[in-house]
Amino acid sequence: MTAGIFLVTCIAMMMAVAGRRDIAVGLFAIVFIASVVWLNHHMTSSLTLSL
Amino acid sequence: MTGLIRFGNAFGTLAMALVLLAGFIFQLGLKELPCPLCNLQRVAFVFCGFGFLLNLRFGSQPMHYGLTLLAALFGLAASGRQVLLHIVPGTGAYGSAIFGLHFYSWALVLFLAVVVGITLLMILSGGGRLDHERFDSRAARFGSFSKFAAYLLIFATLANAVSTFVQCGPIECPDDPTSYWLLERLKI
Repeated sequence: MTAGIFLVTCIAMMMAVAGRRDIAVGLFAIVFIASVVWLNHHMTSSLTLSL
Repeated sequence: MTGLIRFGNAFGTLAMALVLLAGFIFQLGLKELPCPLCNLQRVAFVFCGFGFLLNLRFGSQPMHYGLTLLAALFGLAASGRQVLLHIVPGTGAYGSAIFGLHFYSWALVLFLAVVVGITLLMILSGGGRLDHERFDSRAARFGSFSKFAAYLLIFATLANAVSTFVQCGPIECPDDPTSYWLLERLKI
């Protein structure tokens, strides 16, 4: 999931560099919402980070 | 003033790329694998860089600054959560410390620095007309320093995509990762 988030953001940045701002911002919006959902998943699950 | 704003955005893009690449030094050099929240903090740095990159490519616009602020808030939530996990004395820490602070504490400081940087850039941008009124000329002046910063950020993002897939696979990282998912599957 996180790898996919990085990949789609990378594509969004390449679109921005290519001058396709609408596509870039649209991709960013999708991937940002996915990231917030993913962060919520990790914030509400019980983590055992070297405790 | 426009040159200063442009330099600020290029510096922001470059800084985000360098932070991401510095993470690799510790990941590959010291064999400290990033945890799920660490990866989400890296995602937030990429998002911050995306907003700076839009400013470089299309000129400074309030929407671009807004996206960067949103990304910084996302990063503050992720790093703040991890700081709170380890804030009670005796609950341990994740990873090694640099100048007394762990990565997630530094990430919290850096996301706050991004918020401060954006407010300064917005204050500087407020005096004159917005750059998107000069969209075509700004796009034509996507200079070499800006290009270098943008391509370095894209490279760092792609490297993170590959690294995260190798470490976590397509779904979810373990809470306390000790090995690379793909290398174990391929028995390397």
